[in-house]
Amino acid sequence: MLGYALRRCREPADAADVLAETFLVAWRRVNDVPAGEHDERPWLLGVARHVLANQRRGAARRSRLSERLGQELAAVGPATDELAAGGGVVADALARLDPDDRELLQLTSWEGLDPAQIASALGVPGATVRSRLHRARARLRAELAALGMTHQVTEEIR
Amino acid sequence: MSPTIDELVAQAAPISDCELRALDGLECLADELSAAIMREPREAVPSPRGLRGRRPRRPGRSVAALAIAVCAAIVLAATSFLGADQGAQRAWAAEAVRVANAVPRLLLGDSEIQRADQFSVDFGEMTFVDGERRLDLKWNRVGIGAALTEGRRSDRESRVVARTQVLGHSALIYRVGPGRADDYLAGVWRQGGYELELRSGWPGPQLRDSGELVALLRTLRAVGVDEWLSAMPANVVLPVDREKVVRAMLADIPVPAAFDAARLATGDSVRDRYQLGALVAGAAACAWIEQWVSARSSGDAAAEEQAEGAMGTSRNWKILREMHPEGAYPLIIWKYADAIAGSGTVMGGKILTVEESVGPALGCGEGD
Repeated sequence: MLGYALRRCREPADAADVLAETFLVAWRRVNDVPAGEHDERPWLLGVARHVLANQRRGAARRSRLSERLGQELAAVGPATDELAAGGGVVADALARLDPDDRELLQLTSWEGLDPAQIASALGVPGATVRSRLHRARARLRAELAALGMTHQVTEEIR
Repeated sequence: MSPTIDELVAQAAPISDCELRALDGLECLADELSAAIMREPREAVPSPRGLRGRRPRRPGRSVAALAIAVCAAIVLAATSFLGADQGAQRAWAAEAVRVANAVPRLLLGDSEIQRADQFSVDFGEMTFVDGERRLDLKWNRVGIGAALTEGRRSDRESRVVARTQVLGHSALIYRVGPGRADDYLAGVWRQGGYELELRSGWPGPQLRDSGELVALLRTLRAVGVDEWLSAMPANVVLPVDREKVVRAMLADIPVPAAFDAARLATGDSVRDRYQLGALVAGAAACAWIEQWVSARSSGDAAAEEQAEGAMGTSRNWKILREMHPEGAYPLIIWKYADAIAGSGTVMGGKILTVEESVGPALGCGEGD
């Protein structure tokens, strides 16, 4: 969960905010959290997405807990400039995708979710995730080619 | 071996889980977080938007659902008065009407719809073709799925370059990837509880002139249920035809004795032949692979051989051959056919057993 927040916030303090708020929601709604890691993680990521969206709207307020976590994370975690360091052409190509397509690819590759878990996190049918994922990969291939990255890419199995 | 797209994306992450685990002090941070959170009261809080299925039903939602059902009933009743000749096109199944009544039914000038692979009350997307140019129209019910307006607003690669009106609603025109030679434009707006986006599709020339996009947005027109459903491309399988189409797809696909074909014939979303084909062929493949896994663990050689043989015919399944030029789903089934006839493993970035990977790969166990 910390990785999810850091990969999207760039500022450790913001990531701490997302993390603290997500787990606070989970704690308050502990009876709603599905049992088992396979189902629990997409549920938490679903919460974190909404916390993140609120934060981007400027609607989130820092709690004392997130401020303290942010300070500790700033001390032990990666530096802001490390988080900002790109992924070169692939990051550029990702940035040119639709937000939906980008999120699908990031949930797959960055968070390691399978299509069923992504469906649960996004609240859409699994079949839709699977077909959108195929299309998102095709679009990323096209964006990579447009940016001059032409080497062979292997077909995924899912 | 070349990397997969997923591996390339993983390499582009600002920080990986592996790198995070290597940082000192994170365990203390986790302890601090859990200790502090458990001191918080567990009062009831509103559910975050978009987490469906666990919210108590609110009266407003029930009224809306009832209104849609009544609307659907009126349309069905009206269309049932039409004669068989005129009515053939109009005998839309209740599910299609329910979707059509709820969503913004938009057509783009006289452009044809080339693709409308799956849509429901919550979301949908379609591609219009206008000469060489493809235009993607997407809609999400507010609070469901990725927020289009929020996604563009918070996207550092997108910048507002114009404002306009779409059918009386305020729309923002974003330039995505400004300053690059291959940037593109997307128009985003809210309408009737939905977020919508129109942008140039892929492949084909991209929209770069905001005036051109504004002009296109002004050709969007809201249409009635009949006109909207009639504009769907021929490959869209409406619920009224679904049972017949599923039966035809299964005609050359062997299935195990206990296979439940009736389950495939019902569903509340509208799919194109690719999506329905994936559901049907995937269900058959999942059933055979499940038999193969179970037979291997129980030592039932005959059942194992039967499953291998059935999957061995998958390269000839007509629907998979039809789907093959459009997407990768048939390739995935064929990889599993090869895997169960060979090593029992598939390669997807790393070596995975059939048993551990087939569920997410083919969507085994998922319904419509």
